[in-house]
Amino acid sequence: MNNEAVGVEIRDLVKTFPAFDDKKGEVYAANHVTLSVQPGELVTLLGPSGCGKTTLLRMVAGFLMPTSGEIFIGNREVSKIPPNKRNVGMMFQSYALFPHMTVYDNVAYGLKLKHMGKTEIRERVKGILQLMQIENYASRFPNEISGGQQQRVALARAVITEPNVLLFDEPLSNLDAKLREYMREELRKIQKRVGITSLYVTHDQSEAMAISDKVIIMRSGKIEQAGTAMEIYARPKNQFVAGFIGKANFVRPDSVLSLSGGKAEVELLGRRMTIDASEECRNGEPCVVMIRPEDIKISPEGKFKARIISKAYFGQYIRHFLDIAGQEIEQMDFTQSNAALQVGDEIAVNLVTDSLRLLPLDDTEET
Amino acid sequence: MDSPGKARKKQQKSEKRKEFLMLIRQPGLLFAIIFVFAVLILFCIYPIVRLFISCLTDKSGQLNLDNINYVFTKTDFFQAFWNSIKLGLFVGLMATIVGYLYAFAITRTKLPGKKFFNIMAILPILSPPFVISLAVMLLFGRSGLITKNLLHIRGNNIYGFTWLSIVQILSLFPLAYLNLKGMLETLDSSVENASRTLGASRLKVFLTVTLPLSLPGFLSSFLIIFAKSLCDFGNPQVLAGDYNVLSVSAYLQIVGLFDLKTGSFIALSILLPCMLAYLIQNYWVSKRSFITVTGKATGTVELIREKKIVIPLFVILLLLTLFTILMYGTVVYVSFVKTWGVNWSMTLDSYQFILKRGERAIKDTLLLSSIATPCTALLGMLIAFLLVRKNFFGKRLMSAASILPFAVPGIALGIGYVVAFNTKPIQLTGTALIIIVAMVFRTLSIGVETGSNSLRQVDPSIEEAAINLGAGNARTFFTISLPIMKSALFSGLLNSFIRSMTSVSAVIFLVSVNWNLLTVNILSEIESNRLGAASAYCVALMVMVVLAVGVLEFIVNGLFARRRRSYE
Ligand SMILES: Nc1ncnc2c1ncn2[C@@H]1O[C@H](COP(=O)(O)OP(=O)(O)O)[C@@H](O)[C@H]1O
Ligand SMILES: [Mg+2]
Repeated sequence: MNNEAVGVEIRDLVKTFPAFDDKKGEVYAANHVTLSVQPGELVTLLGPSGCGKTTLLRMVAGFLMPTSGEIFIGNREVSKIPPNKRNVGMMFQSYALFPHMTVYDNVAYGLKLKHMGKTEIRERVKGILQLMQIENYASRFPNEISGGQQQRVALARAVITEPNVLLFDEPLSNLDAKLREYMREELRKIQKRVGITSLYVTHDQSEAMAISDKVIIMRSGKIEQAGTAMEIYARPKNQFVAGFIGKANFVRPDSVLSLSGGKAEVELLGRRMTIDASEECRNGEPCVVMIRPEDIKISPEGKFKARIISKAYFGQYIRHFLDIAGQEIEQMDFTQSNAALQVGDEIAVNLVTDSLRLLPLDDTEET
Repeated sequence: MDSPGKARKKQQKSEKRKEFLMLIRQPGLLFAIIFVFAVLILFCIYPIVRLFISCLTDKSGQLNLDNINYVFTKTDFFQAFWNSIKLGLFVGLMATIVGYLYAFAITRTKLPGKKFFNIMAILPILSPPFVISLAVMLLFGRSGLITKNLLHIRGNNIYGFTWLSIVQILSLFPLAYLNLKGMLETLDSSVENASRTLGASRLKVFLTVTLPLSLPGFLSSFLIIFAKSLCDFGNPQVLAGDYNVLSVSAYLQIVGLFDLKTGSFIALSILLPCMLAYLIQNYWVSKRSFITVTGKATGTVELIREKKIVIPLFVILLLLTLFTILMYGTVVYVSFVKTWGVNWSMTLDSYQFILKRGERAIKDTLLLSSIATPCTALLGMLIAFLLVRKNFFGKRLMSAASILPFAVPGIALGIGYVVAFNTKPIQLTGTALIIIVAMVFRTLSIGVETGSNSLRQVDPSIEEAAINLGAGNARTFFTISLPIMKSALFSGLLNSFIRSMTSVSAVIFLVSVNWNLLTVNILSEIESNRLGAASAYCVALMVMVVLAVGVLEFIVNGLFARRRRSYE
């Protein structure tokens, strides 16, 4: 749409809630969060349930008052602007369609508030309903259409007023798996087409990777890491991030010989090698090596001896659990050339050392 | 050095301040809150405070306890106090037992005619307060059909504790029934089933599981009915006779002896035990209840079929219901009879009489109730909306103030209104406005309650979605919240209309030459022993209430109908 996209900036945002259990404590739902969304970008907040994603969105929308910190939309600090004046669209997890209005009236609601002429409203609503492929349901009530259709209505209602920013709170979590995958592509297409700055919340990593320009990993109200999906997948800062995005084996190295400048010399599974290291690794502190399942290659010339513990067939790949030097390690084989291998076979494997990464050991048992 | 606790307090303070600043930026919301507080303080708190002050001061406004001294020494205050309490305790206990039997029979046994019994139990709640008293006079009084014509008892005296308590039990047990029915329905029946499967007998299950688990509900019903009996004015005024109770005594002081101060003090003395009962009911029973309410049905109760349990219960319910039908039937019948006990020919004389004498009262009642009802409903929904959905300073006060006029005895509220609004700066006595206001605030808490309950069941993000799209608070309230609360709105409107139409004690001091009410007319007809006319008034009132249900349904459905149009 035609108005200039604006960015969002969040600076040092804190939100505390009184804790439920003991009367003195408090929960940090947002713990000094700083982030920015460039104009037109779609940024995803990814984190486990309860980490504070909804709370953050609700502060941007204006439904919650931050304890401290600032939120800028465009160049305006918005924490003193009431939610109905912020021009921020939101798609709710529950869709929150008006149950007593038809699809048409739901979508038109925001335009009516802008005192737009009747004919113009009709034109615009029709246009957006067509874009969302729900023009045939205009005169139905929300309880008369399917979940996927409700979701489109919610999206149509949110974008039709051309808000500066669009907030999504796990919009796909109520849909079944198939529809979810389809809808996320649709969503992304529409977001790109409309060019609207978006902040998208989800706890589903594949959803985050599929649609975002930038992914922000959150845990317990704190930002753990921000970057493109590729950056985060390839260069996670810690074990939590590595485990949350994609799959990973974490293997304690036999020893860390040296650590400096983002490189480390380690002895791993009985062999010495140089690998990348996270900047969060400290000399002398316990570390683990991240090995992605696809970075283990089965090959007759492999330097590591392995035994197949179990095997499962998934179509695009075969998953093996291997015993390498006494450690149980997950491996994914996308080559289809090792289909004949059997449980119990002794084989040889190589590690893609460029992809291995030394991370600080995470002892808070949380994923 | 700041302790963490201090730092947190500071943080909360700054959050509160920010919330306040945000509030100021929403003038509509701020205005609504200020408006609600203003009317609540003026019409709920101020009259009660004035009532207190008026008891403790003399004409010049000086502190003066002579008045209290006078009440204690020169009137039979203590007798009346003790009588009221005795009546309240007895009626509370009996009505709760009857209500419990009723509720148990409906929820736990396989009883024929459940729907019918259910409706018949609710009837007394919907009808004018005198109907049962009136019927008792007609059937069992000096020239009563049963006492005089069937049993040939001469001059049977129905005035006093016995019949008064019977009438109160009959008119109040439905409250206990509804309360206990809800409780028994939500009681986790798996506990009962479990002990049954462990081999316990019916009686044992009832005594060791069901009864102890329903004890909090039982107590809560008892307290509510105790308070209701204490506050009741209509029935004692008709039936108490020499059995002196506080509400009648307060009324007589004012109407008979023109002694407003003594009347005020007596009215206040009902308020204390009454409020105490409500407070205990609220804070003790509801907090310490050990009912296993799970919110979702965890299996259905196996309904009792044994004849030896079902048949006695059925007989009890049937007798109760037949008695109720007899009462209402009698009143309807009498309204068409020429002279009860003398000339049994059918005529419309009574109706002609009330149309001539009471036309004004009928019109006034309808008009004032029809104005009061939407006001109550709207204000109630607004307060519910503010209490459930918004954050602001003084929420507790708002909630308490909105309940106050409902919890205080009607007679105290009425006297409070007279004391507070009979002089400048706010002189309202004699006007229609004061009656409307009394009706509105007397029934306000019903609106607040129904509204809050329904709002709590609606996902708040639906309203947030509207705000997010740019709707202000007022628009959100009128275009989203209110239509969604439609059914709550309907029952709130209905309830408040019925109560406005049938209220006596709160308005009896507020009627005037210019504005009169049906219920007050009924009372004076009973006092002049024109029972036919009183019956005709009662029937007219009941007919109007039934018509109101239809009209309201029509209006509410029309106003907030889901509109489906085609968009071409
Ligand atoms: N109104 C509230 N009062 C107290 N605690 C809250 C409130 N809202 C959220 N929290 C707490 O804040 C944390 C973050 O919640 P939320 O933002 O809903 O997480 P998410 O959306 O990531 O699942 C949770 O620990 C939750 O218990
Ligand atoms: Mg959430």
